[in-house]
Amino acid sequence: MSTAVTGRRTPQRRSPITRAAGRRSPAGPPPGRRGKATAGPGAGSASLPVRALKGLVLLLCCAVVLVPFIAVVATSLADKDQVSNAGGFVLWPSHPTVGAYRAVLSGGVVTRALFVSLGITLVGTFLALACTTLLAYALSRPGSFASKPLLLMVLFTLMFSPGIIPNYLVVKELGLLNSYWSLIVPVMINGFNVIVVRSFFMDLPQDVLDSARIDGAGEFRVLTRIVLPLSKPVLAVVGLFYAVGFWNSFFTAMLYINDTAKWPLQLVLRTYVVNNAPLGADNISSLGTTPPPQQSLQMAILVISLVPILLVYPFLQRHFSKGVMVGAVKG
Amino acid sequence: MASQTGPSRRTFLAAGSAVAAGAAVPLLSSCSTSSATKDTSASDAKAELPTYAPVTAVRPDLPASPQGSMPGYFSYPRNPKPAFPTPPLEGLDEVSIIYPTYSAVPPKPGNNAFWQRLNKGAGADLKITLATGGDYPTKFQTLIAGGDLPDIAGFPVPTPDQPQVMSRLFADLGPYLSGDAAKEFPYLANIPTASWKTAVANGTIYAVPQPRALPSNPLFARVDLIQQLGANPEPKSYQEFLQLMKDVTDPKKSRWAFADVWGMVTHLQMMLGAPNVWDNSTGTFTSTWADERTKQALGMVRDMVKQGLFHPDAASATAQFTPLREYFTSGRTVMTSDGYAAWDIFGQQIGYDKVTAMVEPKHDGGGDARHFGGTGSQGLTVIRKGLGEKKTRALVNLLNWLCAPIGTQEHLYRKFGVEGTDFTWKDGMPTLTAKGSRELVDVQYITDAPTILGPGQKATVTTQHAWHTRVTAGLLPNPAVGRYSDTNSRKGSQLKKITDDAQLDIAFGRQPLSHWDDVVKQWRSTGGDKMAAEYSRSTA
Repeated sequence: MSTAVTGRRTPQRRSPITRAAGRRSPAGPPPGRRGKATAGPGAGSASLPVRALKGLVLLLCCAVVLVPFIAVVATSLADKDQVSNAGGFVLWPSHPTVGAYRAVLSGGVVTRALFVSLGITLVGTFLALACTTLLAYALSRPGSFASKPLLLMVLFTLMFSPGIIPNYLVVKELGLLNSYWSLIVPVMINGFNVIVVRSFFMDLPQDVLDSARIDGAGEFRVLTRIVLPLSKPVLAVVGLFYAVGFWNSFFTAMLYINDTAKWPLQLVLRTYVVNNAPLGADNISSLGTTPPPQQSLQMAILVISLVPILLVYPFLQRHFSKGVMVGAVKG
Repeated sequence: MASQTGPSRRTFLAAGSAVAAGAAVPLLSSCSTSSATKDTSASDAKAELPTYAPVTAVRPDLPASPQGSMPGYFSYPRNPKPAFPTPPLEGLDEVSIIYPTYSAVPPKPGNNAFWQRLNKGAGADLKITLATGGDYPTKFQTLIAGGDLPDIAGFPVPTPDQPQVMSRLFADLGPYLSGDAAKEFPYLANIPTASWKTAVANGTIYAVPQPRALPSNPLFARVDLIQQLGANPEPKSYQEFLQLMKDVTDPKKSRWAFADVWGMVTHLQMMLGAPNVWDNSTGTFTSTWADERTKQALGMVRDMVKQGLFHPDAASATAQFTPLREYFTSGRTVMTSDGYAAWDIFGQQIGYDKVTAMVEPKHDGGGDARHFGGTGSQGLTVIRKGLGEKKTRALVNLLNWLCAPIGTQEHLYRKFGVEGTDFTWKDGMPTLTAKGSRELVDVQYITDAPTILGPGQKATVTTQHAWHTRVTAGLLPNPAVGRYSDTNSRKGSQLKKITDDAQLDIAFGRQPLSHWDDVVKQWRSTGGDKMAAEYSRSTA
């Protein structure tokens, strides 16, 4: 990648340096840390019972995490009788059926909401990353215009966040009510993420950037050709933060979106899963009330809402472990 | 309102009112002078409620009792007649409505036959904005602050500064509904007087209630298990009740008597004859928490827990409906406390023959205890101010239309939608199809006809009717229903948390019983005494 930076004037000087830096930096943390990791816990020294015990503890820990997931998936596949006999959750469906999924997806409401959520997440994450990177880069360059006051302003948003109603009024005055943009624009730049990205940028070797400049690259070219390729870990992490945020947001949608056809998946999910909790006692009248959705239905929609965002994790996993650390600790 | 009995406490917890109120209260209160209007409740007692004029579109199979229990129906009338010659909103293009929903969201009107039918019946486009029930107070207060009020809105209770908010933003419905004026809206006049009490503010009517039955939560029992174990399904005193609990409990078979601490305290309060939330027999309001019998009930629950009669997860289950219902339907608890409509939820799930509601006996025997009354309504619906006489009248008529009772075509369409698409006739009953239950727009949370028993199986409805008639005969009302306390609207949930937490602490032995005295003291100084004073003043 770094070879692509080639300006036209001084090919011979720049390439070895940038290449070297380009190779090393994406490899991530300095070699010292890696060495420590491999020399890590219990390399061959422990006796058999200790190892067995460790295995058992790890197994237990895994079970604690996995069993609820299995229960959710199994319940979504179980039939009604089994669920009511088991009193809510089953661990293994005896007569697996996709009836719950069919019921959830057939109305069109959930499918539509799923696409709304996907759209908001994709567009939102892209815009949020773009804006965050630009801001963070500007703030990371010493001497850029008003960087100090701007940085303080970003920090300020970390300490003080506006209440629900001021937010609502801003969205309303911007004319964004009942628009998908109301879910994206107000949360497009997150102060914390800006700080993380900025400190990552500041950590990049200054020499590389300088050499690019000597080669005649402008700020924008430096950003897109040098800085961004070197910052993949932090971009992956921050991108994931944003994506999960957009994917999970229901509260803003509840406030700003009046048209139920524009509701994102999480809000629809809420009407299925959480909402019948307050539906107790005084609220219900018997005639013409739809019964609370069956457990399997609830779990099916839970699975539907989990899977897309879950699919992203494995691809970002390797960046995830180092990205936050690299950016944040050296701030 | 202060009229909450056992169940609705949880509703408030679930409403997460902390976030909602926290953000919205300062704004709301800043635009009103709360001190000047503290005594509005005094005039509320003088408000003239709609003259009650019962409407019977079809004769019930079991009559309503004079004390106000619900009529029962064994079947749904097959060919109901239309009750409205012209649609209530004729001449209007659209009406915007917002209300809390408790069901899954329906598809938009474009591909929703049910909704289209509603629009057609109403005579205008119903622009409905839904908000999930738990989030509704937040949504509502945000709308108020933003000034984006729809024509018709559900009014969350409690809302701080309720009288001021109502008088500033919402239409005074007194001219349309007070006294005999209500005759013009026969189905609103069909709502019993007791259910109108909460709709009053500033000495006039500001809202239309959603009527509900009068009794608070029944004590449900798994009669099949009780009989199978040879226990006594109809205890005549506290001793017999305790014996029943012991007889059905068998931890080895994962079966316990009860799981809901707050519910049990309430039912024991009934047995002991404690006041229903408040007592004003002396002319001043005193709280049931300060009553000696409440402490006694707490001690009894504490003993029950000690004897292992409560489900081991009772401490966490007490705050929620779902686990309590699951325990009960799966037979892990033999009794539970829930809203009266849960009878049908249980019945449909496990069979009506397995569920019954008990009548609490007096503690020392000698007849039925007085069951506590609830609010008689749930939720209020208000109309925006300044829409002009003509539109306001049309909107009141829309609410009237939404209250058309069983036996009218409006009722059938409103509850079941389009025949063939949304419902089919099964055993003489309109039954929602899968499409129907997806498309259903639960406008019953705007307002509804007074609730009825059934229509359903003769045996079932007869049993339910018998329980309701027997309990309603000796119902102990909560004197605070229909009175406004400013402190309650602001600190209600905070105060409730004090007593709620303490009940659990004491029941599970984390605190001694004597701790209750301190709790009551704390409750009174935090706002309980002020609430009592405000209610007392409003009786004047």
